Amino acid sequence: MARRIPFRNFLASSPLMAGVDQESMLAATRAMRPRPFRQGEALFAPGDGGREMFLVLAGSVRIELPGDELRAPMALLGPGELAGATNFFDARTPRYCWAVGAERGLAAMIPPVVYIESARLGHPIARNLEQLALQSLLKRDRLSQRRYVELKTTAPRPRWHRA
Amino acid sequence: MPETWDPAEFDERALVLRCLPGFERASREALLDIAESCVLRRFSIGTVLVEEGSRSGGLYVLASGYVSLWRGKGKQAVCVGEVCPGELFGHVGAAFWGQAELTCQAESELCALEIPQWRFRELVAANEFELASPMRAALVVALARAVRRREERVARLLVDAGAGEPPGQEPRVPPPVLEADHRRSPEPSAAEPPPRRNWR
Repeated sequence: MARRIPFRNFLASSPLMAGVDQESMLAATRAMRPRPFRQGEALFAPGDGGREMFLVLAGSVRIELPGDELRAPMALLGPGELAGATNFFDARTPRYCWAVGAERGLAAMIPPVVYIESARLGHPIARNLEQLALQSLLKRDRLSQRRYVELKTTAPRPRWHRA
Repeated sequence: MPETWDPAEFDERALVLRCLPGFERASREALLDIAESCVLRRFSIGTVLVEEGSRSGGLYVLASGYVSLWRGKGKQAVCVGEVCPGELFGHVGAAFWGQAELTCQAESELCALEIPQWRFRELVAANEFELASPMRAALVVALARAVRRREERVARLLVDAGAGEPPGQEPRVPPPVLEADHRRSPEPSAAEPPPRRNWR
């Protein structure tokens, strides 16, 4: 039988805890919750009220956007990447996409209070969260730009647009 | 808890900065410190504020007006987004990837606060939490909003092109992996501003 690795060990080796002292790491870990997921299981869906962010620790998560009856796959997030950063930092934005397990894995569910408390204390966890969210969003921004341009220039137009 | 403040104590630059999400919790001293190095500029319609491929230039907080974002040059240019008042735009790409990835063009008369790139880099990387955190949070929110708007458009185009997937199925084409891409692009060519289009 495979040995189970404790959640805090996964977290301790994640970029979120880089430069964080043992005591603060334990306090932050207590406020976070492990969120194991299976392939096809949704971590969140469009319209959900939650503001938690998910740090992928193992496995991978697919970001999908709703169409009429279909979903459009948008990005694949691996260990160290964040899902749900958009409405974690921007309370005005409700969830607009699905985060679905692309394969079995584990995520850390980070409630906003972890960031708010760390920011209030000027703690490295807040800095790490901001930097991880920045990296994740910069890559998704770049990717979405490329895909948008690609689709705009190559996708066939719907019939009613043809001359 | 944000401190109470009197608008009369701030100059115009600090007031524009305070409109940025993330800066509402910044202290008065932090706001004034960052505002010190910023310049409030006015641009006329059609002005190219940032050119794709350029390496130097600042970031802007849009105080009033409307900006369109373009990728590609000349007839190949595609409008990939827009910026509304209170949002951050500009040489974000230059600060992280070495050169600007988009052309930003004024679609109306506009007023924007320019944050010099050196100051922006200093702030984003700083350990001085009180100064750096609002800047990083503002950038995260600006990016989050831009990503959301663009991903929704990409999803519509994908579904229109028949590339959507029924829920719960493995995608026929796997979604792209977010590669760690730190390549520096080649020297930018003599830039030609994108043609003005009535794209709205």
